[in-house]
Amino acid sequence: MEKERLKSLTAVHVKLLAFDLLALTRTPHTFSRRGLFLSRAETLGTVTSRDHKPGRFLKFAVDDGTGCVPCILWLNHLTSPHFAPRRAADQDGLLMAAGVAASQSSEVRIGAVVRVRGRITSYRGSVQITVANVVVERDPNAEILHWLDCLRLARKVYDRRSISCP
Amino acid sequence: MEASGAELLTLSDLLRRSRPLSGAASLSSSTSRRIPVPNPREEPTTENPSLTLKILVPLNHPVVLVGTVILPVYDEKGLSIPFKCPSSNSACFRFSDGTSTVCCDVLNFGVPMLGEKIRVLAFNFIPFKHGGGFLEIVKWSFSSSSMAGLRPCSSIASFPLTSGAITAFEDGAKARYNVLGAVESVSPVFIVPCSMTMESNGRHLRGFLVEFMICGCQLCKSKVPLKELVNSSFESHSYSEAVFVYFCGSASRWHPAITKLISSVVVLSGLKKKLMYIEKEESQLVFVVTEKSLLHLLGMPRKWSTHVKTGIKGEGECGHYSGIVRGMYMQGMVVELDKEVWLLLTGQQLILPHSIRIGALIAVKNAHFVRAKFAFTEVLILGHCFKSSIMVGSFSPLETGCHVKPQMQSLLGIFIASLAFSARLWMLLAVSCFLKKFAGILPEKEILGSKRKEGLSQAYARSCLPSWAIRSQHGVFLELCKHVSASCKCGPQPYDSELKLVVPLSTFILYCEAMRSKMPQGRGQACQESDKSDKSCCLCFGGGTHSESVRRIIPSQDIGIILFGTLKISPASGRLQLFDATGSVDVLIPDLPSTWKSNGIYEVSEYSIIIEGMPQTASGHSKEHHFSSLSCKSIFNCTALLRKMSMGIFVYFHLRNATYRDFSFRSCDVPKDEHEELSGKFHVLQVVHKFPVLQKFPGDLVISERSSAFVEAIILPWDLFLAGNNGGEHFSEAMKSLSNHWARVSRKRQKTDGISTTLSSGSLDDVNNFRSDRSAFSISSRDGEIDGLIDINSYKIPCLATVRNSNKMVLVSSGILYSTKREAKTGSCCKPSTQKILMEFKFSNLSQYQGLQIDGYYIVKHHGKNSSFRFLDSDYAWGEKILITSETKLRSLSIFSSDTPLDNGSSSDAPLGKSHFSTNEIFLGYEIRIPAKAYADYSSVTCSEIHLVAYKDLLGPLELDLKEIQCQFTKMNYSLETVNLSRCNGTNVSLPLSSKAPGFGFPFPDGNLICIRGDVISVHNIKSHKSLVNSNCWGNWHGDISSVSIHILNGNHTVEIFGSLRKHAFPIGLGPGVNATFYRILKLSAQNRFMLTPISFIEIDSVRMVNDHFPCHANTCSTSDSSIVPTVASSCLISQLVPCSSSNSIQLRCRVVDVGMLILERDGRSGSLKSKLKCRAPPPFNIPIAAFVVEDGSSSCVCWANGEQASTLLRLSETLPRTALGSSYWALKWVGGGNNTCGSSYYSLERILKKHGRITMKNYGSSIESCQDLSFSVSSENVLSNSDESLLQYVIFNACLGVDLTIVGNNMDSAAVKKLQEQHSLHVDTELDSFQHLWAREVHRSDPLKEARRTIEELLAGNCYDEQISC
Repeated sequence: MEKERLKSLTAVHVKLLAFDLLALTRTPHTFSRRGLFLSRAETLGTVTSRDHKPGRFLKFAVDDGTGCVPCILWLNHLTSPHFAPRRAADQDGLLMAAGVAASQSSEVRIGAVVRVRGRITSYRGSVQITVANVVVERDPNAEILHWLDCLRLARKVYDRRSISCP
Repeated sequence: MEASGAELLTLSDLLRRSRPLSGAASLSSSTSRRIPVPNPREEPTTENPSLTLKILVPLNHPVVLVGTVILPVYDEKGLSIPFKCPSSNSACFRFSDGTSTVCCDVLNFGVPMLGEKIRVLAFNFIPFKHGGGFLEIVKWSFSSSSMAGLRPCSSIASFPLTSGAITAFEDGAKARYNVLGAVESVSPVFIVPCSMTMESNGRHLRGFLVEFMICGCQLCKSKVPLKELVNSSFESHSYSEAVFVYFCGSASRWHPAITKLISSVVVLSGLKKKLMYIEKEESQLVFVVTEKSLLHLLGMPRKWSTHVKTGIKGEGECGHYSGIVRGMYMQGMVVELDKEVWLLLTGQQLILPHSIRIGALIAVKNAHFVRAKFAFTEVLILGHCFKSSIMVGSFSPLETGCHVKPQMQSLLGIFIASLAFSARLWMLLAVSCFLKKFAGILPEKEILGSKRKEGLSQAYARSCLPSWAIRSQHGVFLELCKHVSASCKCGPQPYDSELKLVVPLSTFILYCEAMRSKMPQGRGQACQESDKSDKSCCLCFGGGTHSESVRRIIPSQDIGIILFGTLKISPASGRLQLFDATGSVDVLIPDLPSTWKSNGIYEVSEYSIIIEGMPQTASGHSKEHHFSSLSCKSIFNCTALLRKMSMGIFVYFHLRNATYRDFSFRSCDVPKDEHEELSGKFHVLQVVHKFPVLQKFPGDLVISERSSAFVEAIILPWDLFLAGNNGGEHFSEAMKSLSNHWARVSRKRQKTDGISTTLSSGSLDDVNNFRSDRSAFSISSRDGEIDGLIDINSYKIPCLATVRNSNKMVLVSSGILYSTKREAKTGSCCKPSTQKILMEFKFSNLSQYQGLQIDGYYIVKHHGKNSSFRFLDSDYAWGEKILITSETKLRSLSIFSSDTPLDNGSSSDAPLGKSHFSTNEIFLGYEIRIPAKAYADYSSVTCSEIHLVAYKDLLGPLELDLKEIQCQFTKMNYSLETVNLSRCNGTNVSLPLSSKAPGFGFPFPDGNLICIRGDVISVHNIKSHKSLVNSNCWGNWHGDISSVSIHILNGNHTVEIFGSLRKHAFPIGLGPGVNATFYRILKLSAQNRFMLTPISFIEIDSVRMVNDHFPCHANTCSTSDSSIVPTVASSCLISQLVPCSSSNSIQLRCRVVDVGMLILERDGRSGSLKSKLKCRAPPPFNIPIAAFVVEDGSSSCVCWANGEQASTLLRLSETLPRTALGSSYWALKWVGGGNNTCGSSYYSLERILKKHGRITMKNYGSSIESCQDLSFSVSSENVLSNSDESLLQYVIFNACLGVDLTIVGNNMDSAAVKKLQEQHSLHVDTELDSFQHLWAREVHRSDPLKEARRTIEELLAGNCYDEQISC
């Protein structure tokens, strides 16, 4: 059990630099980094591209200086069959999620420094983040802190787990 | 039964005795009913022990008085005939026995007794101070020989109401109306000046109005004979129509008798009708008593009341109230009836019955019930208006005097009568407080005012009272005839809580002490009591354990008290105190200017009370701790505190938030023209060290006075010249003229050497470049006065000075900073010539010493040859001692650098602010670090009096000089030194380092003097092992010196500072939770310990609360109350936490990803929400417990929190992002249709909690999948509406969208979690059991820069192995 716990960080939004994130290995159910299973990630960087389809999705790329992470923020809560069961069970909650997603999409502008959290998914063979939430960072030091966090976590946690759990 | 041998006593006998007594015809008889009276033994309250009450002394033999009770008699002007009654306008019965006449009141009054000879069988006699007396007739009987007096005219007991002609406009033919009804209300007696006819010229018509409730039935309306009307069935009438009868002229004598008939059914005959104009176009039909008028008493006494007995709502309704007089204050204008029931007798015409004495049972008829909810207390007010009357049900058996209400013709009396009832009580409290606060300081007349001049209290009230508190006044006719609650303005006032009270400081201190007694037990103490075997949570010093004190910060808006007093240095302690005639309290003022006015009166409404100390056990409560809350009684009864001020209570405020009250009648020094004072040439100096205040001991030859203080300072090689004469001109004009000058300078410099406008500080080349253009400066002073003062060859920096003076006015002046002695003394070398001086402050001038801050920069004026600073102009002044007198003004200085030469477009006349230009750096001057938690609004501010703004490119040389000085004196600070006081008294004396280093064999400690800043964890007495920061503080000092051990947290390390500390060097507030700087402490070379020396100085930088709600570890303390964990917080990752049972503090940087459960409950505290939010106080509701899932990229854990910590984690103080709500249909519902300017969650949640009281939320969804499945339950019977549920959902959702937070907390083991859940009756989903648990003690937003620095240090240190924190 302890070994399983060490081997998996699927419940945590791991902080990885773009080059590291984009190099994750696809496994049948999730992704792995040197044997450590991951399913959620957090990235922070400058928005370099933006493709908005109102009512459907917002695709954007986040450049953290080591690479560009493609991100997708779904805006189809009210129309997609994917959300149909939730629509029936908790319509208010879904409306709220749709409202928040729409609001967040308006804040993602090219040049803005954003912090993105979400699930690691793949699209056409490439790693991307399916956004759970995105926050605009006003403090320029946040970007540096993110780099340092990624370094520290990689050294202290992710690498060690990878080594201990091949 | 009356004893046959009763001695006949005369009034003259009683008056001759002139002492209060009671007498009875039979000593063996006992009164048939017993009335509860205040127990004389209980009555002397803790607030006023001098108040003692005695039972009236009874005569030891049976006595009887024989005489007649008569109505008062008035002269033609309507005034009472000469009579020894303190009220010149009295309307009380009189008793006369032929030897004398006195005022009297009668129990079981009957109209037939008037004028009859009666035997007084039981009575009380109260002599007046200035002759005369008051007879209270308890029991009486008709004397058999009586024949005279008012006799019934017929069998139905009729009495003539007048004696002779009444008015000039009398018309007997019209006097044919009868009124049968119940007496509803009786107005006070009032006088109408008559000037209608020649005959009545100069006469005054005295009279009163009586409201009768009559029946509207046919019988009553028909003109049936009076006898038939009287004999009709009582039950057949319903007295529901109001009519008014005007008793005027000699009929006005009947006032006391008619008052006794309230609620009785009587008949008046021989009345006439008159139409009276009560307003311009409104008239009222009034019956007027004529000479033929008779009062008819019915055979059977009939009582009628229109008031239905219902519960008191306190919304201004009229009703009757009976109660025992417990206290009378303010000359009888305020009567305390029961607990927090206050009768206000402030009406202008009201005459206070003599029988209202402490201990009397009184019935108040037709009083308004007003429930006033002040911020400081809640009371029921019985408002006395024109309709109200007071009757005594039982006379007081106590030896209490009669109060005489002055006929309030003063401006203050009129003002009080014009206020709404709640404001009247507030005003009376305020007047009482002012009288006590300034007793002996100001003459009473200045406080109360006079007929023509308003006093201090009224001026103050006028400035505070809102418009709703003042009502329009009308005459008696209008008030009575058109009487409704609204006209008395006595309805519920929702804004009572706005009225804050100025209380005497003794009351304030007692209140604070009561608060301290209620403080929960500290953790350390609890540890000792509950589990002596486990001392892991207590700090150990020298093998002993120490109980921890608790600190509580109470914001002023929570108690509704305003502090008002003078600031001065306490002669006893040398500390800064707020002082009034009743007491004083220590104050901590971070922005105290060095030129503050000692003895000035300050009003402080925004402050925090900091109470620290050892919570006392129940048995240890002193009497004053019964003083649980501020009550009106305690305020009225307040007396000066005779004992020593209690330690551990102090008040923290900013002087900029205090109002300086300048009362013109005070004989204070008129400040000199500040414009004049702030022009000319100034030295610039930096305070390097403040030596603790020296106390003189007998035989001490070194210290000449009782106490004096020394400050070490460096005179900078820069002087400041201020033009000063343009203080009146607009800021923009000053800026413009200066910017033009700077632009010229800048252009010239660029032309000369072409250097960049950006100066890299520290470059000597640049400095030389700057120096090369010094000749380019030609300061265009308008009057040319600079030329004679400034060396033409010196380097000059033009600047703009803004000066904040004591009145918070901003003066603007142009100025020049110029280098002195640079070339004269050191040639071309850049080394500045600085001078070190020692400034001595005598006790009389300690206020200036208090205002100085170490490392602060100050300016002091060149005063010519006679100045203390004259020697500075000489060649060498190193080590000079200067005596600072009250004439020497040291003003604090800050210099801001401006990025741009200046903004020419700034046309605003607003005072200096950041909006005008970017002040990107404050490199000179000092900053006051403000407590992050309690004073979050203030952030970091400078408190300097003089702000200089200079173009940054010109500041290079000054900057370099300062850095060099800094280096030079930093070195000095680190070297062991003794302070040479050779110039003090002409003898060489060095202060030895007398502190002993325990455990060392060396006679003297060895090391360097350094300065340490950190968070204080604990302060203890080494010998007694007791916390020094508590109410028994003084008791822990052995004489003047105590051996202390102070633990501080410096960075991530805890260090111990020990040594001897003088009582007077112990700064206010030093204790756990403060951030303090310890100057010149000795770093012992042998080990990592620090020692206090006699020259060490401790400065408090900030204060924070340390009694966060933290459930202690299950096996040491109960999990219910506040505790302290004085441990070091170690920064770590969540993955590094391991389940363990220790309680070391840990610090995490993480974010909320889910909310597991949450309980919100309505908080019962009163107070304005607006004010709470303004000051970022805790939310206006309570969060007893909440569980959050947090993660930091390494792992996740459950974080438990309550109160403010939970509120921060929920982001409740942040504005609800309306854009986030988009176009959702419920969005507008939440934020009040977009009109609500306060869109934070607080408002919405408070609204919901008002409906439901308590809401419990549980999340059954999976936090991992971010799929919330929220379940809400409420304590009320109401169902949570959809919109409310949506809002709550959003609050939870919004909490998960936040930025990184820093959480300082403690690990919790499974037992602690279980206990917590039991305590709150929680059944948390087992999914949470798999997480590591943490209790949050402190939560705040992370500072990315600080975190980045820390992280990079950690990475560079190679500390990257995955160690598990052994906590």
